[in-house]
Amino acid sequence: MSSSGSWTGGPGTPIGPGGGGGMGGGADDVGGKARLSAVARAMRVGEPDDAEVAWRALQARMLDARRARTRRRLWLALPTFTLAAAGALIVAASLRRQSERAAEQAIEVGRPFESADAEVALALPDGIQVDLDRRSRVRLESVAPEEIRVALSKGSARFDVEPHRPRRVVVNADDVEVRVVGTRFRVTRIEAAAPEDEARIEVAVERGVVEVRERQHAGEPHRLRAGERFSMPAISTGAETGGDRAAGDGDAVSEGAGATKPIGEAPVAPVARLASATRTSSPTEISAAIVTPRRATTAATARALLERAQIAWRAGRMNEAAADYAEVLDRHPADPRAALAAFELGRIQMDQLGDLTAATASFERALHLAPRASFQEDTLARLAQANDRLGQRADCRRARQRYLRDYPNGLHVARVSDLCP
Amino acid sequence: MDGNQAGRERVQLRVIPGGMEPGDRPGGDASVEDADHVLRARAGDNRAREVLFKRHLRMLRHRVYRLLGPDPESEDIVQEAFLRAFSNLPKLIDPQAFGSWLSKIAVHLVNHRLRRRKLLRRLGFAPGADRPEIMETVASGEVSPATVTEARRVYALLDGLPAEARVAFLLRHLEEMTVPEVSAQMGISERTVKRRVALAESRLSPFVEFALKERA
Repeated sequence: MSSSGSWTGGPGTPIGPGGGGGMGGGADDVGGKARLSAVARAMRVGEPDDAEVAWRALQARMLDARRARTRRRLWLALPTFTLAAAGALIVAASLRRQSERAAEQAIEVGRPFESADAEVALALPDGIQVDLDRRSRVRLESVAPEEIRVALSKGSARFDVEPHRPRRVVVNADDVEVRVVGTRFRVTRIEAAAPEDEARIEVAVERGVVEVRERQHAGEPHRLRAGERFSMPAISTGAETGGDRAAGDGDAVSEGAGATKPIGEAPVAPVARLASATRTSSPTEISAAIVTPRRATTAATARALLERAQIAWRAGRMNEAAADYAEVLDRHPADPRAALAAFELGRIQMDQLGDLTAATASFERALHLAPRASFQEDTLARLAQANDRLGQRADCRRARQRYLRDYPNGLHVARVSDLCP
Repeated sequence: MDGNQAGRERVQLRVIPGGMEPGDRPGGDASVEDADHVLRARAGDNRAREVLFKRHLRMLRHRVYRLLGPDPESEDIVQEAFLRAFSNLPKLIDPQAFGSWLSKIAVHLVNHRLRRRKLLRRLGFAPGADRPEIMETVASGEVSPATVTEARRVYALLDGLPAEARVAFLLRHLEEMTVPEVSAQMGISERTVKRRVALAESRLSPFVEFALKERA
């Protein structure tokens, strides 16, 4: 699910002069002019009480950068291996992932795969996961030692690529080329609703970073980050506009003018045929792509939840962020990051959701889970503050005393000392 | 990346950016303590890095958020600036100047982001900064919605300026830096700073009141 509705699509609403009589409360005395002092007031950055969280995030990034360097070196040291000829099946997905799958099936390189009336999960080489929407069509264009290319020619698919893959992953849709850096994103081909409309290609990034380029203008790629999306008119006409035809039609896949490597058009592989062929594939010959009916959502890992929560937080979707943190506490209470999740949850409850009682419970939980964690200085200060606002003087005093005892030189000493006198 | 370039910068800026309340941040001793931490961080002391990070986080956020206005990437840029500063610490000649050096790296990244934002818009991308609710996420929670709207209006006007003119103007008028300070932060000559600021002023003056002090 991408958060489509919130995107406005165009450049920032240019708000012209005189457009806001009374805007900004008291703007009248400056004749409708906007005041720079409003910026000074509105953009006052408060005390960074998430310094601890921000510091951890930075450390993770430093670590990632270091790991990426090591991995690149390792990869260069590996002897290059030869690949079977075109159309051959490629050794692919990990065995562990394979065992999760009910039915497994190979798709040949170059042969399009189209989903019928159900979503389909595809596993491509290197553990790339593709959730293909209904009536959508992808094709594994090529698998080379340095690069895997996938093309989407109809409908929509979400790609989930773990970072630091040895091979580059490239997804084409019409003239748009998406280079993956390690991320989750969706590519959609929106067919024209009416003959005079044009089809569009849309790329939306959920996590991480991708580079998007137009293949005809081999210029600078543009980096898209989480929450950003990109949309441009398609050059090629749709493979079919109706989309209501059953899968398995023998249409050749239409390709954009700028397609880098047109591969001999194979007929669409019907889902039914794929399914029946399942049992015949030898277990040692792992397929290039594995097809299963979309599985029920598996329990998200604590890390994934925390990551998702951060994305929601940054995008201002506080309820979603809170739900994710709560889920971490629910599902992974023993995880070392659970305490941090409790703290973050409390912070949202206190600042954004205005639920001070829930916030105090979350802060207490954070303290209970990891009493010695470095961010507990902030937790205690906030706990004291929340209890103070709630009028819980005894609880406030307890938190205050503990704060002043444990952090006599802390950042919040002045503020905490003034509470519940 | 201009870490090496930035490394040659020796100008000492005041640590308190304009618009912060007095007493927010210790003054002169801070840079001396910074020097100590910079030396230790250079030697690989992660704890020293942490101290530098926490000490300068607010200053840097303040600067980046105010220069960029509503932009979902502000926090990323703050992080990126620290990341670059830490990996280029050996190039910092005057360890006492860590704060201004860090800020200079951030200003460079902000400039880059602003140019990219313009480019994205021209290409029909949504740079993220255009979503109206973004302003709510970066603005202080303690001011009235009317003030936030007015600030957003100023940023919408600023978006029409070339990136350098916008940054020079905001450093001069919002951060209340002197021209030499702006010149040091942006790595351009004082004459160019003056030209950029003048351009921004002439374009904005019909629509924006520059004075930061409220009228009685």
